[in-house]
Amino acid sequence: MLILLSGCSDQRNSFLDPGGPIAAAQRAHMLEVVAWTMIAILPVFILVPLMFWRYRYRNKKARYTPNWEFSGWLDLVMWGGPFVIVAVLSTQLWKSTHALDPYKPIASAEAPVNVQVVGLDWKWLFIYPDLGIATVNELAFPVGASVAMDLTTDTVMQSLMIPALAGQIYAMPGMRTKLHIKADETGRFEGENTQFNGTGFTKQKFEALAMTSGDFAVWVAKVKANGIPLDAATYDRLAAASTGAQAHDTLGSPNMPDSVLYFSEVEPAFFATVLGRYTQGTAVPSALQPGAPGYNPAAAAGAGQ
Amino acid sequence: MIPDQPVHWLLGRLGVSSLPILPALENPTVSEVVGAGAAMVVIIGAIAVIAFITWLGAWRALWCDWLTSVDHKRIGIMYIVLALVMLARGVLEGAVMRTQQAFGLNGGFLTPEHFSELFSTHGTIMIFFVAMPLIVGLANYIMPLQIGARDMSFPVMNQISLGLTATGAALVMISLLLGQFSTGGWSAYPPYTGYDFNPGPGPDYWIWSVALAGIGTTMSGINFAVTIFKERAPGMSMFRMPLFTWTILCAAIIMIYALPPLTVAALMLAADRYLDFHFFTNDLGGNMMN
Repeated sequence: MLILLSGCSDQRNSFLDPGGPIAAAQRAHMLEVVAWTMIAILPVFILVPLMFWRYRYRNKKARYTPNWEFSGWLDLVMWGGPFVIVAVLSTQLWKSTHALDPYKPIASAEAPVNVQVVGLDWKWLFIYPDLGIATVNELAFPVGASVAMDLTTDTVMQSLMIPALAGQIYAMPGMRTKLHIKADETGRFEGENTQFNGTGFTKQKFEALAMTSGDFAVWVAKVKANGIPLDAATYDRLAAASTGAQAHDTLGSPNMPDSVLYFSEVEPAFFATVLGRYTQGTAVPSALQPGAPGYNPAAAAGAGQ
Repeated sequence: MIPDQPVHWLLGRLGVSSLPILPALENPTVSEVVGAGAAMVVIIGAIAVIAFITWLGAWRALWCDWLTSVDHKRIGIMYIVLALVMLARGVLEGAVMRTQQAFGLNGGFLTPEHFSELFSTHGTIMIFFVAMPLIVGLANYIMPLQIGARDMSFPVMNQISLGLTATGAALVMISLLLGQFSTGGWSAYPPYTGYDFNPGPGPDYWIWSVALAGIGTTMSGINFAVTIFKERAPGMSMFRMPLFTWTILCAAIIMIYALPPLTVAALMLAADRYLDFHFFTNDLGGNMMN
């Protein structure tokens, strides 16, 4: 219950309350689309009652024209209006699809932060390759810095979304997708998986923390001080299907927040290893596929993963 | 799958424990009771229907005048009856899911697996066994009358379409009695529905019900398009056709283009699961984006 209440308090989870330029653009688009479609919708809501009033039974002044068939002007408005709306919206869609391409880096004055994301059943692993640290379910970054994410999973397909910062992007095993986000103000933003992946799906939430660069340096030091090394054996246990809270119980320490894990050391090639696991040209049995019911961390350790 | 479990020569891995009533008696949680209750509704409903037909003495009429009929109006009515039966189940499932969500903050009364099955069957039923049979049924009844045709172009194929769709729907109903349905949602994205991540019978139910209904609906689409193009009465030019017939023509073209890929993809998933293929698996070059 406490977790629920704290989730309601100051964690932001809607693009209607944007924390960065992408979500702000999405909100602007939605309002713009609503405004354009109102050109077609408002006349209906206004004219239908007007017509009922005007052509009511007792109104003798309304003109009675049973043989009326066609009006060029009326047809022009009825077909031309929607045509213009569709043309305008298509142009906007085309332009903003390119402008908001998730693969395109966002210009920022601050140095960009690289994050490698591995989706696991039912938690997110965030690796900071330049800093040599990693976390589970906590994504921190400085305000104003562009965060360049590379995403993959080590289980089924997942989809990462931080509604108040950026839209969703799929992450798939053996494949790399990219997402760029940026926050304009400090805050706590809810992130989630939006692709159903089993019983722990609803618990697969994480927190995106936008902080000042001073706070970020403190946070990095905290992760390094309180974290445990992310070696192969630890990863094999981490990757087994479990929620963030369960993983915290098995691997975490009281110095780490609830449902969150800190890792103080990560191999530089860790992400590439996870990415390459499924593309070796050899079969990967269920026992070595994290998230599968037949997954066996001991077998994974034996296979030298 | 447990490898040491004995495999029966005919029933495969089905056993007495596959029936949902027994676990409900052993372990009467609300979730199990809801599942068993649904299974009982299917059994009692089937018995009631059989008893009612026998009481009417209508078996001969049912077989000769309806089930073997190639008349487009009767096939249309049977499609609509099928859609309404499945709609009843779909609506009940929606009600159960909403009730679960009303109590769901502290876990609710359904297990997560049961809830996942519910939204998967609800979605599958509402799309493939309510919306599509309803449209196909209405079109079957109305469209030939509107264009002045005596029947569809391929009356027997029409009957086969109905049979395939009804068989798919029957499979979804049987999943209440034997084993479980898929938990992968109505879209059943692999690799979650692949063998490694879901070795149970659930995705197989989805594959075969959707594949059968997919073949049936593809044939319906072909039938509608050909009927509209070739069977119009003299004087019924394309631009004199009623708007409903135009709607059906567009829907039929969509069916012809959309359903074969879906059916083939479902069968590819079946090949992944049974024959060790790797269309959508994580390893050996499988690609879930295919």
